[in-house]
Amino acid sequence: MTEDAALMTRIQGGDATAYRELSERHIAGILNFAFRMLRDRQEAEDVTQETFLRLWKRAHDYQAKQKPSTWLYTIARNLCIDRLRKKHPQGSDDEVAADSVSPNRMLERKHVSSLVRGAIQALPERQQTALTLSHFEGLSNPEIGEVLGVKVEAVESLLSRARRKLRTELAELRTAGVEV
Amino acid sequence: MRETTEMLSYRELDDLLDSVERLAPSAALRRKVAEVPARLNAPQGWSFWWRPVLSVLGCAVAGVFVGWFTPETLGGSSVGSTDPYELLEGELSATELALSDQLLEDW
Repeated sequence: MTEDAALMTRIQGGDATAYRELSERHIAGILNFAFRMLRDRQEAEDVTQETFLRLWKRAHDYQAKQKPSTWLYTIARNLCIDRLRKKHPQGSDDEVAADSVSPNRMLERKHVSSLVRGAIQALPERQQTALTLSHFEGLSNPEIGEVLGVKVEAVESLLSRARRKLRTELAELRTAGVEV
Repeated sequence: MRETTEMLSYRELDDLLDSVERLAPSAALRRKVAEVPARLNAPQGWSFWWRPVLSVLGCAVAGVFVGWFTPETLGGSSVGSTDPYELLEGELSATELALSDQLLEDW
């Protein structure tokens, strides 16, 4: 049993100390994941709080076959999708946050980091989630598959499409003279 | 689709992705998250204080309905009795009762 899984078992028994330990281990990951999805720090903090609130309230729903971290990312992702849907009520799953980043708009932004975040958020939701969890949170493809509810092959496809799109979109930076 | 030559290399892309800074959770957020169990398990304002009071009142009302509490079980008088003579006892003086008894016998 992993350390996270052992903590989860204790949390299911109502151990608040175990809860604090597990939340401390994953709070940064969940916050950054939500921030990359929503691009709004306040909303990302709200999602983070709600995620850990559900961890405590719904610990009995957790099934040991899943890693606690992937369970947390699944909760956070669903909360982010709910918020994105409220912002873009007519969009479908893959259309959420899929508005393109025009080169002119990109040039207006000075900070490369902000441009990259914008390009990531412009990806379809599942590509965005897969890339964020893979590159920034270090989850393996099977773990990402658990969060998204898809097979590993589908994760590989999502990552491949995400990277290809980013390589194209962000090449505009180089064309615009931004040092890459 | 643009030409492949216009794309960044994988290395360039990874470098760009690595340039994106990570947020550090604020102390306030850490505290709010850490306080979740205490907050959820804590008494919830006035409803907590009124809970025992409401419970007692609820039991009393339920007791009246199921017949646990009647004037007799509470040690009170027989107010509510359906016996006409008992009802009269409460209203008439002893002299008046004696007179009424006499009238009944005569009748």
